[in-house]
Amino acid sequence: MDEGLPRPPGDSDELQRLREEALRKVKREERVAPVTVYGAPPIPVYGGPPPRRRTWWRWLLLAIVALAATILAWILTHPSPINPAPVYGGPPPRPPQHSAVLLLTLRRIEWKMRKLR
Amino acid sequence: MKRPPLRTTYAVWELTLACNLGCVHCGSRAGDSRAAELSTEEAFDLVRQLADAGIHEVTLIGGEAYLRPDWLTVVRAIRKAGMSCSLTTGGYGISQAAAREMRAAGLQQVSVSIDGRQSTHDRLRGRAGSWSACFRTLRYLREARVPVTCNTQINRLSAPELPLIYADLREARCRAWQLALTVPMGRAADWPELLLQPPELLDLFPLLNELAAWAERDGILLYAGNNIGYYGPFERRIRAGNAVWEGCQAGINTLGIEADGTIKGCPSLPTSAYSGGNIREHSLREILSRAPELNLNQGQGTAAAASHLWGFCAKCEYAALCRGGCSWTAHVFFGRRGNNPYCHHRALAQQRAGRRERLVLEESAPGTPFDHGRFAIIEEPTDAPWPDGDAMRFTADRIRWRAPAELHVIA
Repeated sequence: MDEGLPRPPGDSDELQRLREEALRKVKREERVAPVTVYGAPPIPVYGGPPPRRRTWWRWLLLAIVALAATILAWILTHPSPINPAPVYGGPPPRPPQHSAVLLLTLRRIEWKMRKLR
Repeated sequence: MKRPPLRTTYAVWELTLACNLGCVHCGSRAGDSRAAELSTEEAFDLVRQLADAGIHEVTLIGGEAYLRPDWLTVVRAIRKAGMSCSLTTGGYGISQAAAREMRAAGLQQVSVSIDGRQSTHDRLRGRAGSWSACFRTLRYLREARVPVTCNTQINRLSAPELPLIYADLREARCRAWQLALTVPMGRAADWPELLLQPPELLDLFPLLNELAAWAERDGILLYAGNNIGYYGPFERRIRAGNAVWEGCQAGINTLGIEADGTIKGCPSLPTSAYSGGNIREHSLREILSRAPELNLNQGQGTAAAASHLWGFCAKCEYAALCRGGCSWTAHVFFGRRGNNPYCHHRALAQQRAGRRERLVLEESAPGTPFDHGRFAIIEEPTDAPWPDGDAMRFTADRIRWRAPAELHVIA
């Protein structure tokens, strides 16, 4: 016999069967008994819920997530300068703004066209 | 909440019986060290033998383990031998520097015993200021990055305060909370009024269920000790691992070691009846293989393993798996194991039959470490009048859910 620990059970199969049977019976006892007796909503019997845990870090995390979501929403919904959103009742929309490279390229094409004529 | 894997093999080692507290429920009547405690060399040799016997985790207890001057060298030896090492302490007199030294030595967890709010704890622990010291110790350990857990003895003084204790422990950022019922061993045997009576479990267990729900929500591991159970409707909620009780594991995967080298199957078992021998006379493997006291739970799953049961437990539907619950608890009430009065399933069954059980002290404890008295069970109708003069009786309406005006500032 091995003198070390842990010691093996006398009958592993029977022990497993006993375990499963006990679990079934415990689940049966759970069904007939109330899950919570004390402090259960809506009418606490003996008391109320425990004092709340400090949640400042949860609020901080929530604020960071909210800020990130706001920035993302602004980026996705903000009208781009090339396709300005129509403005009703205000000044006329600005013409599309092109990049400096694009403007130079367009000017050069225009200049060559004139020269060709 | 994801629970950590349960330990496989475990030794609890009383490193010294010297103690700086005077707990009124101390099972080992700790105070002075034992006459012939193991030397440092003998302790190192035992560490080697524990590792060789397959032990994976060692918890150091006392008395107060850290009162032994060489205790950190023993911690280092345990870690070097490849075993986990933790400490259970009353938490009195641990300095910041000591907490850092524990971390440096490789101590992996410290469980601090907290038995109530300030006045109750100090009364039970026999020293004014011990409650404040516990929370100071918890802070020092946290600062030294040593994982901290707590343990609480449940008796008629501490039971009404359990929700408040929980709030304190959560505030102190404890990772786990182990609960155990106070039983009549050592000094607790001298004060039977302190002990819960079996019908009081009917009010206690719904409270434990509630606390377990809070702990689950807060990510704290609530861990019911081996003498809390068994198989009632709250079993899976309060037992770590969402499992059911599988019987006493003394000598199966657990060992207890007394400071003088006495080996038992469980640290709590009374020495006189469960000592398997001394490490100074025999090797650990010899004791494990030969001593009947270390083989008391052999043969799990066979009829022989439950043959020692008597009284209610012998006829119980869970008898074959339960084997009478905690051997220690049954033995210190009646002088023999196999009939456990601290059982929720039993109290419920008695209640359904219109009965209840009361325990009455018949024979006092002699006054030695790990001693016990002898109790008798009185069975009576549920509506029988409760004995006069039992002012400490625990009932649900005594539970203190909130601290009134005594909200404290944790040191």
